[in-house]
Amino acid sequence: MKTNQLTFLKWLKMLGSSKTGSLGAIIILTVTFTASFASFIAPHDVYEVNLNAASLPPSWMDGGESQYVLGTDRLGRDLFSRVIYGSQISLLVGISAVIVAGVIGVPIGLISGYYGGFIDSFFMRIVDANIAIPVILIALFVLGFLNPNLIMFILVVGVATWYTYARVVRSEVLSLKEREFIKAARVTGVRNSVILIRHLLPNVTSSVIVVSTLSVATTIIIESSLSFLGLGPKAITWGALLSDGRDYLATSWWIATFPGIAITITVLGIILLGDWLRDVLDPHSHV
Amino acid sequence: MPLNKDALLQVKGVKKYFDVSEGIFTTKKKYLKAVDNVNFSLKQGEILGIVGESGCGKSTLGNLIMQLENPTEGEIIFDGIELSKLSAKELRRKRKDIQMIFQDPYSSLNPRMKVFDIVAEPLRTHKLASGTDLKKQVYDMLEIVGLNNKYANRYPHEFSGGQRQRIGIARALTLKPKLIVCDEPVSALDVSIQAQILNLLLKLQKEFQLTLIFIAHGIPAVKYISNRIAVMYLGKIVEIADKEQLLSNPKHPYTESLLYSVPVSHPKLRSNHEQSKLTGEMPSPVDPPPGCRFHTRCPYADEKCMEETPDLIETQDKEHYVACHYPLYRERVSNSDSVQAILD
Repeated sequence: MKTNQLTFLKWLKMLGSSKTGSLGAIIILTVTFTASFASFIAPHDVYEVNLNAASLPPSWMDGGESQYVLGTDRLGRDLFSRVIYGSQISLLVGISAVIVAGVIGVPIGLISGYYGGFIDSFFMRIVDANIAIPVILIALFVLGFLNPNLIMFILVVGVATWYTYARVVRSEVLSLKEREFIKAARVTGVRNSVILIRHLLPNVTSSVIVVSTLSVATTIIIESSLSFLGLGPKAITWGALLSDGRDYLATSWWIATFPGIAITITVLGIILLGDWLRDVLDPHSHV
Repeated sequence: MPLNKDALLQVKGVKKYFDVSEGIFTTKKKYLKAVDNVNFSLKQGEILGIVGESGCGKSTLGNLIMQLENPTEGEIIFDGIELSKLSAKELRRKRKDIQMIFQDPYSSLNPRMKVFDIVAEPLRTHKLASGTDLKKQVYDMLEIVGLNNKYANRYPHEFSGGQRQRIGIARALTLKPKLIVCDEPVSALDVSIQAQILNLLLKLQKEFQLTLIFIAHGIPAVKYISNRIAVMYLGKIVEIADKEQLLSNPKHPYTESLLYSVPVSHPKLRSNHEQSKLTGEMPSPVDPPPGCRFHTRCPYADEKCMEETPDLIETQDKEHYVACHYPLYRERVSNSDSVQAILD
């Protein structure tokens, strides 16, 4: 296992040499850590209602109480604890939905771009149809009829957003397949499936990473919109907290602001880390 | 021209037309005749140069031989087997014997694969070696093409154009193919590197008894390496002969003008072959001119050339085939004034 250790150290060293990459990694590690140990970190029970302490501002403001660092919502529940717990589902949903979308979209993009012709038209017409229907509408329809649990939610968002990957990968493959190294592989007698996996897939990873990191952000937003409509994953999520606070923006701005900040920081961290990952996976970057 | 039965490769009446019809409602089909009735055969160990301007169909011919494209008509017989009749699986197996070297060393190597994996891929694909045996074969091959073993774990972008082309050659050679199609293998390289690569190819040809098809757009590259040269114009072979024969005694006006399009360095050696210099553009292969396709640019053309298509026939010199109604003779070539006089 010595080689494994070596490569891990090499990666760590490469991460250290990139400032933005390290920042992204630190943010993501912190958020993951918080999500994993939420029950130890959170100072209050997230469901504990205390009407005497309803709508308290953050502790550093006039009228704030030191035990409620980020203030409370209209039922007097501790916002800080709720934001900490919210990271669990938000992160899980954001990342899993992106994986589901990628697992569907990338192979379809590869096949569609490489084979062309009827197969390509077939998949691209499905993509066109998919774009024409808003994600929210698909989610409303499916989740409205079926039991809106967490897994169902992840699947629906993944299935509704796969087309971004398919389109990006397809357009990339269209130009790659005209390169001579693909011709060389065909001339050698390499099977099409192997060409797709060994020659095309590694060359589209950078675009896929860029799309995925941006998609995590979109997914968290979709999750918040659906939570607002009452079709969310029925749990404490940043999106749900955000929509809870929307009605009280004028009087208690903190209820919506802190989950919003949490989303922004997490998304930034994912984008920074993704950017670094894209650079590292490109053989041109390390000589 | 008659085809040699024992030849390694026989190309029989091969045509490749691309459908370029415009619009959905047009009933008249338009075709781009990239390769139009090409015949030749190739003996084991021979090096055939194919020369022609851009767009004459020489690369398409290469792709047809490689089975990257299917001919519209005609047969390509390799090693006694007609390639287009093979099933996909049999063809994949047969590909072991025919390999290709590409023009652009910057796009012919997968940027995400290490040199070792690039050179090893053909062996892995055909399951010919694995483990230490594979390693040894790949290292040997890198050495043969003049690359150090220690480069095996690097990525293609760390190499120069010439080195990349060597990697491409190593990849083509690992399977010990019988035939290699070289599609302008040196035209993307520096002049100083071109000679190195040509010498390497010649050395390897002797060492491995290779049969080569060497595609190029000018006589100079082909002159050095080939035994036999075929000249293509607008999808047809206009002249094919042994190298010395073709260079010293070109019979087709197009071959002549290709020869004279090479600048001569010594002023006293420059002759007044002004009228045989090529002028104008090559006509479109979508609507090739009737009769002899070269008549629009030919200094010797007359009415017959505009109406009748000349066949590729043997001249009084053996093994020298030309498709021209008025093949050139040495006297005509050497004395351009008398040529003018005959035409007048």
